[in-house]
Amino acid sequence: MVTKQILLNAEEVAKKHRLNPDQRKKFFKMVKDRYEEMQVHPGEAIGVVTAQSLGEPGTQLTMRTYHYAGVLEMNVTLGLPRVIEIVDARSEPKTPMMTVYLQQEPAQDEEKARQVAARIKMTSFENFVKEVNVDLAELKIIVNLDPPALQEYGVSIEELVEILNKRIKGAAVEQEDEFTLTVDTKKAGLRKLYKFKKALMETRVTGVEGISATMVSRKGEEFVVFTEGSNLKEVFEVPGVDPARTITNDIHEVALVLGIEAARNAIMQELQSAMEGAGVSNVDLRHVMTVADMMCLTGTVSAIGRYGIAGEKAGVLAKASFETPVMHLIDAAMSGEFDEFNSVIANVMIGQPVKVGTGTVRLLMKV
Amino acid sequence: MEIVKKDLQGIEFRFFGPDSVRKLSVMEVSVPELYDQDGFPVEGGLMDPRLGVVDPGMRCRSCGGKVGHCPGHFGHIEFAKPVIHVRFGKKIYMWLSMACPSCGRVAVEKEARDIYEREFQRIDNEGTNSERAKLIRDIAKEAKKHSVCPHCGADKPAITYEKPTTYYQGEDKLTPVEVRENLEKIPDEDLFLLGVDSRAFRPEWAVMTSFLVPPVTVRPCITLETGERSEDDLTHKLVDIMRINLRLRENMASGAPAVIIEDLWELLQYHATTFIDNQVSGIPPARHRAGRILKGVVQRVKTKQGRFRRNLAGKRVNFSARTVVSPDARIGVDEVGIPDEIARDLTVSVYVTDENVEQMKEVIRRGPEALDGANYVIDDQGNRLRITDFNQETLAEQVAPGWMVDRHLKDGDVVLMNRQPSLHRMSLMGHRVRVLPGRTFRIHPSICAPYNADFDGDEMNLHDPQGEEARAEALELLGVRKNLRSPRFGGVIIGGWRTQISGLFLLTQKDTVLSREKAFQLIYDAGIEAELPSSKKEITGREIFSLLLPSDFNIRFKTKASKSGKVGEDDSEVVVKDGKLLKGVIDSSAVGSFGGRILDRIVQEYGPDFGTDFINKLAALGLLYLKMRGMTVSIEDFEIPEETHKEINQTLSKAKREVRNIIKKAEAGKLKSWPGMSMVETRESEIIHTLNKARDEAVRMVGDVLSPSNPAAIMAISGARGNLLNVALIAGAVGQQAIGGGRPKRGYYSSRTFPHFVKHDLGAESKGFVRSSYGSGLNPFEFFWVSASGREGLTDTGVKTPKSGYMYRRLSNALQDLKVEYDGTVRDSGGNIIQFLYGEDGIDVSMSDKGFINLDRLAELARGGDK
Repeated sequence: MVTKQILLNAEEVAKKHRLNPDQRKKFFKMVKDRYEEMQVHPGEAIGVVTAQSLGEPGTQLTMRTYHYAGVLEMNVTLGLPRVIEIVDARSEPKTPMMTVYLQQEPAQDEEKARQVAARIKMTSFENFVKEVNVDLAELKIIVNLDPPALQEYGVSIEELVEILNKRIKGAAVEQEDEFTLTVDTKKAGLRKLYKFKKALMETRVTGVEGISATMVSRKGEEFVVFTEGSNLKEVFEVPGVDPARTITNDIHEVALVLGIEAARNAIMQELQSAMEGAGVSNVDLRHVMTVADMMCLTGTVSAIGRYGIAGEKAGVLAKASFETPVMHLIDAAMSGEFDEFNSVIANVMIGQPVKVGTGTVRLLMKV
Repeated sequence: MEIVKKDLQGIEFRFFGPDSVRKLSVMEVSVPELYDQDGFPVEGGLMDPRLGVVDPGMRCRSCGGKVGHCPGHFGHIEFAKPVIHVRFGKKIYMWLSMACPSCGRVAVEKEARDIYEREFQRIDNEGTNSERAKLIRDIAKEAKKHSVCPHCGADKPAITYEKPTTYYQGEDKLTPVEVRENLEKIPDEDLFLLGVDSRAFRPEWAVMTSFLVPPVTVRPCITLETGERSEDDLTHKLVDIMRINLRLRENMASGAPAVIIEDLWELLQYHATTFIDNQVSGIPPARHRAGRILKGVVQRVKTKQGRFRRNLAGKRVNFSARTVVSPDARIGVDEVGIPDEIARDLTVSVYVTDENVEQMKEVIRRGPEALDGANYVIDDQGNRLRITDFNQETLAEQVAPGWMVDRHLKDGDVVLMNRQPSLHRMSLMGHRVRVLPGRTFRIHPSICAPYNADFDGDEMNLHDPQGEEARAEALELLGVRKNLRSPRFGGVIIGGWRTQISGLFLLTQKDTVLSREKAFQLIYDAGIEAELPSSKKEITGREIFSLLLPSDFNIRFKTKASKSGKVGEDDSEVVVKDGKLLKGVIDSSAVGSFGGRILDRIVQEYGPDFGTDFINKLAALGLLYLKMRGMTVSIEDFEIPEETHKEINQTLSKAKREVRNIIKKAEAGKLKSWPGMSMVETRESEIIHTLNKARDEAVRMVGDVLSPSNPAAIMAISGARGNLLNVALIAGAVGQQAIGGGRPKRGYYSSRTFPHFVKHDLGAESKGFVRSSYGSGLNPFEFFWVSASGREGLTDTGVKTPKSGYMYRRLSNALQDLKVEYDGTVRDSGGNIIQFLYGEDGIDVSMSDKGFINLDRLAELARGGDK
């Protein structure tokens, strides 16, 4: 049966071409016939076709990282390293990045978009500091603040003191005079003083943890914010952000925050854009989809490899043929496993026809 | 030969415990010597004839079979003292830490035990392998925690493990005997907690008391040319084990001091360990006398060269051939030219029937030396007889229905062609044979695209399918005709190629006119059977091309050539009406592989057979026209007018001035940084940007002055090969060379790239800008820059190839079992549903129109539009 989507598209095309009722009838008949003609045949080894479709252009992919289209300043991993990163299901991408879509108002107004971007970008205490002195005798850190910075980020000294006291454990921050703070570090002690100072400087004051840079850019009709670093959950909470469309390139984060179906879509989208960004634009979506579905099969994102899908296969021989065969054989012997030769590779090993393609069926001939 | 046919249902994996070892063994190996003085195998030794035969003519003393029939038989060694199996080193540690040394129970409380039992059941039903592994790890952790046995209350001291096979209980070293005793105590009912099936395995089996000796067929000895025997690595290792085992037993019997016994015991452990695995970390690998590292059992199995990947997942084949490929545009795309030498060697088995008996007699009479002859006959008794000069007449007389003839390959046979690396399914396709003189395989140039072949020495493999089923599949599934469309993106990938496109481009230009004679010559040569307009004296190229098109064919599209701005109005849009090319020039966007519009439409609507024919004809036509017209490229074709040279020089000089300005601005700190970039990064970006802009300008200027009739321009514009940039590199300027994504940084100390420049020089010349062109020649610095960036490109491909290869291997391993079931779902071999409908619409990409149904086209057709 023709899928709904194709029928809807066909309806639209029929309208566009102003088909009369007879022509319409003929047209839909043709669509149906063509659709049926195009169906995959039962037994088709589509997994292998998928692997080939992604593997074959692999040599054409570049190794280098490229600039993100539209934003010249941002480095994003693309090409082969990114594709490998995705199928490996690495826990964190090399260049975590978000595309933050904005709500109606800031999306149209660049100035307002910048304000949202400022709210997202993480600023650490360091950004507000002009000079730091350490008083070893008193075990105090004396900080001279930078008034223009305070103004730029819209933080008052009182707020700053409050934030610091809340976020730093084991220290009391006090306002000395107009632009000077003292930090009592007695609890940290002399030995850890410099470590403590470092932690103090890196303490987040405004913005979202993990977002090291933001860039406002035009995307189509609206302004969006690109970020370096990713923190989906908290960015969703920032006023002005449109959580429905905002995305990250960190697949695991998507799975965690939005669920496995979203992760599947994220894998598809990331894979495709990684390939397209490196100039391989003609890999059909169905192949990308198959890889994503396979990776999300168990409900969590698993890698294509020894610790992911390959290790989960049914059949001892199939597992052993990939990597670490001895380990798999010993485990199988200990737990008394039985290989039923369902996999392709097991049948190749014992010299029987594989159970895909024309091997799916057996024909008896009447003589 | 008797044919045994069996349908294997599966393999059960179990472990050979000491009893099974003794039961399986045909003899106990008790003598460490291999041969006696006369060179005969010693009775009870490691080469005992009861273990199987490796010498031709001998018979096995266990089964009576000859070489090739006797599979070999296992023997065994009884260890004087038990020895730990290395591969269980870590597992034994885990078990010892889990089990109580007094009562043997696994130290887990009853409640926890019940929970674990249920969890195991759940995982067996629906869980994953990694969940199971994790559960076993968790249980081990839990049991290890107990310092007192929850079952008998006895003390459970902590165990420490020293790789690979030493264990301590507290301070005391545990001997393998003690280890074995402790493991023996673990009751069968507790084994599931270790992830062990008690029917398949007992923990104490990991400490071996008897040792399985592989048959001699597994470790054959080879006789060198000198007559010297050379033993297999495993035999060497077994000899070591035997010697030490014997000495240990003797010493024990004679009551030697404990130190000596312990030393020997450890040596025995070492030999048994390295026999199994000679790459264990922590112990030195056993070596051959010459210093070569011996191969253990594990080394035979593991890695790419191991049994699994080398011999089981991939197999050697007969009926194959390999040689260099060379082009031949006069055969069909789905044909392959085969050297007669190969054709006479590869055969097809034919049953002799009443219908073909006379024919077969002919074939046999021609014998093995002549073409279209035969090499063997198999008579009705099943005897294989070689056809020779002497018996070919007699055999031809004798041959009768019921016999079989292995006849030579001949024209029209189906064979498979393959070029490695086999990255997609079009790397192996079915072709029809054309036996030709010469020593290379001849392939049609249009087939280069799917094979990714060229003719600079590429070799290809040929496989001669044996059996009708294989031949049918080679033709109907793997056939070139069935693989015109790529399953990767659903477009045609076999089409016009290189010279063919140049030829058609020139042929179909507006003013190409041929005399009647030449036109006839051309279409005759190209094998086109069609009628020319009879009356005309002169025939246009477009009229000739139109002969390839079906008479109801209509299409209209912008050509690729039009984008160059180098072709006239008339040439820039293709208009075909009723099979007549009225307007437009044929280029790669019309008939090229990877998206030729006319080609796509023809394959789609007129079918693959017509499509193949179309490709054959257009290839011949393009090539022959080019041959008739002639086209050469020489260095003169890359000469550009003096003024253009000047203009380019001016542009480049201007760019260099701009670069100097940027540097000055940066030095003065006046350069405005781009967001997210430092000043230095901004400076570099701007410089590169400026210089690239200048180079692009130079490319444009070269392009402007290039005559459309320039052969290099013809190739670039038609999409046959190359682009205008390539021309500009030769005629205009080469431009900035990038190393590591930026301008070259390192060189002579850190402040400059060469000692010839001043320190801290940031100017264009000192940082990889190549002002000259390849045509004018490069100066030494420029030559260096071009070489450096060229080298980077080479290392880049060198790094990338294995990386992408490994990714491909992992992908295909993960996905190879997926197939579409009769209910339309996509499932793996375990029956898990991956997709409910393939690709959410069930469309096979290789049968689609670039992944979709071309609804617009169908609507056009429905409107009564032209085909």
